[in-house]
Amino acid sequence: MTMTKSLNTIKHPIADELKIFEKRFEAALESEVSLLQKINTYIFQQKGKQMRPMFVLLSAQLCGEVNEGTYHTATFVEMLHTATLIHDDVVDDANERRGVASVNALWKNKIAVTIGDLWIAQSLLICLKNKRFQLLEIFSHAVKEIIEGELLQSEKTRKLNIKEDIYFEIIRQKTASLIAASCAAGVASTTGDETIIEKVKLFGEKIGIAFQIRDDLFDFGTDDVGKPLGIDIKEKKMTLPLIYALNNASRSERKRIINIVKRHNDKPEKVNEVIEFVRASGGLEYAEKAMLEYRADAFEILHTFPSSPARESLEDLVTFVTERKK
Amino acid sequence: MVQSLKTIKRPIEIELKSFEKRFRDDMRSNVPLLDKITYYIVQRKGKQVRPMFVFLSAQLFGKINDATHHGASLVELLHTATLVHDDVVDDSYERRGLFSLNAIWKNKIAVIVGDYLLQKGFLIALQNKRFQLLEIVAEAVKQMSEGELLKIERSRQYDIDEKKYFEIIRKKTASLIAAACAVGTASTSEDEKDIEKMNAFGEKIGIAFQLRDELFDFGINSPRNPLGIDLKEKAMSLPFIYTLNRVSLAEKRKMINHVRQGKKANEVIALVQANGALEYAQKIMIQYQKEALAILKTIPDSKAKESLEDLVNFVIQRKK
Repeated sequence: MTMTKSLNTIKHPIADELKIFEKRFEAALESEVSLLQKINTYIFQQKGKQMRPMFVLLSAQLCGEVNEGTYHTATFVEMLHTATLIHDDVVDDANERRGVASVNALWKNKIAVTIGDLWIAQSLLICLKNKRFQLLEIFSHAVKEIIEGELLQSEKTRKLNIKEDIYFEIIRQKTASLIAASCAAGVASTTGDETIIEKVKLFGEKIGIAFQIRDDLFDFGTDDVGKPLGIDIKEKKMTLPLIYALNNASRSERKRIINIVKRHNDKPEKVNEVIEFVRASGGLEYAEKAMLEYRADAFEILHTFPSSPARESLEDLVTFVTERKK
Repeated sequence: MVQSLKTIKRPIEIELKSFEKRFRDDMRSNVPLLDKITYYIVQRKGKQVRPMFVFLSAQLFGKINDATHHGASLVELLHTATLVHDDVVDDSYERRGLFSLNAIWKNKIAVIVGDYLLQKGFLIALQNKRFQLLEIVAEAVKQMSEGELLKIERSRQYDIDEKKYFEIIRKKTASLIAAACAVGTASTSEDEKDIEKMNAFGEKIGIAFQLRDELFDFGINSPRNPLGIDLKEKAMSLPFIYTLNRVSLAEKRKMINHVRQGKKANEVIALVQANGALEYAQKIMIQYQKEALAILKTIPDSKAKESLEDLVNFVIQRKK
């Protein structure tokens, strides 16, 4: 197994660039409306892992030097992603994000939805005012997929009759498409070669899917650290381990488990029953194997590029994403 | 004389018809759940005032074309998206007579649908490379959100001056009508000055529209019962703010208290009336109307121009 490096080590080749990015990001959201400025500042303090800006900057470095176009891309993607998270928290009625109170918990739904709308508009304006039309074209496709993925998920979750191919379609659209677009737009800021852009986009998609499966696995506590268990079950989110387990269970067992997820998802002991059921069925091993296959695909694409510090960091980032503990 | 909306629409009748069909297609998706929801939205469409502004503004400077249609779709999708989002956050149970989305599908889905419409509007612009139109409308969405936040921030204090008031309604209410006019113009004219001019026209008429609405709430030229309207709504109106800044400190405190407790609307209304605030708001509204008409005067005569003039007068003189 590859050794997992810390995120800080991986960030090393782009440390300066990330600092510049952060400044640009905050400057882009400066406002004279004091309430807005207050909330923006709060959100900046909670900056997450900055996974997407990292993918943008490192992908750009595969083919050249980070430039203005790269920064616009990173700013755009992080702003859009954060806006999505703010809206997600309203949708999920979540009171916490990254270990602290969510925007909707502190300022209520109305303000959270409005801030999200504003950030979405502002992210577009950054591209439009700087005439980054190619960037917009790359992301317009991703944005369409994200929304349709979200709707597909809402619909399927209600029925809980999800099959593996639908699951992969949902996570490809919902999670992987934005990472794919980040990588594609990142490299498009340093190369005009369409073949390379497509290749890097596919890399992003593979790692995006692996990222989501890793997230799914957390719900069943394979590593005994990180997120509390059973959150996805409580929210009736279908994960790969659960889908596999359901599809390989007897009809009566399947009925029993679906009934718990549907009607007793607020009872910890019942949720534990589901977790035990998934563990016993080999669902975790199955999902882990699927994740590693996507990871291998991602590595294979990376290896078509000549060796470089950026490539090495991307490899480390791939490893980190699939082995992270939270 | 006030022309009916039907007469005003005449120069763009055919275009509005084809727009309706296009708009329905724009909202279509291959997700059945989403289709069900957008069906509800199309069902409860209102007067389509914004597409009218887009098409008439376009016709002032040339022939309505594909770009005009994309602009109209963009504006209408974003308008609808903000309405849906408003529903979520306000927990309002009724809009235009039909059940609001959240009553039927719950908040969760409505945030997603609002986002979907927002993104869908942006997508139509992007896929057709309408970058200029998109910039105009994205700027409007930003302003609307800012206006909303400003309003929330200020309304907690029930204490704002007229300058802030106008900033809020310019951003919150007028910016989308301004964008509708600017987008229409940009689809048929490359002259930045034309676009700016029509943006200003839309802003003026948008502000006048808002003032007309506020006057309705105080029972001016209206079948609405002023006592039946939420005091908290009135507190962010020009007549209220004008009064607040003119009465004695004791009366001011009393007014704010009444609003906070949602009581004694009649006393508040009496104070507003006694201080000439309604006449003042009417005067300001007519000023904006005149400024809007003055902008139109600088543009060559046409059927579209006549219709826009009528539309301005309609906004001021409408009875509901």
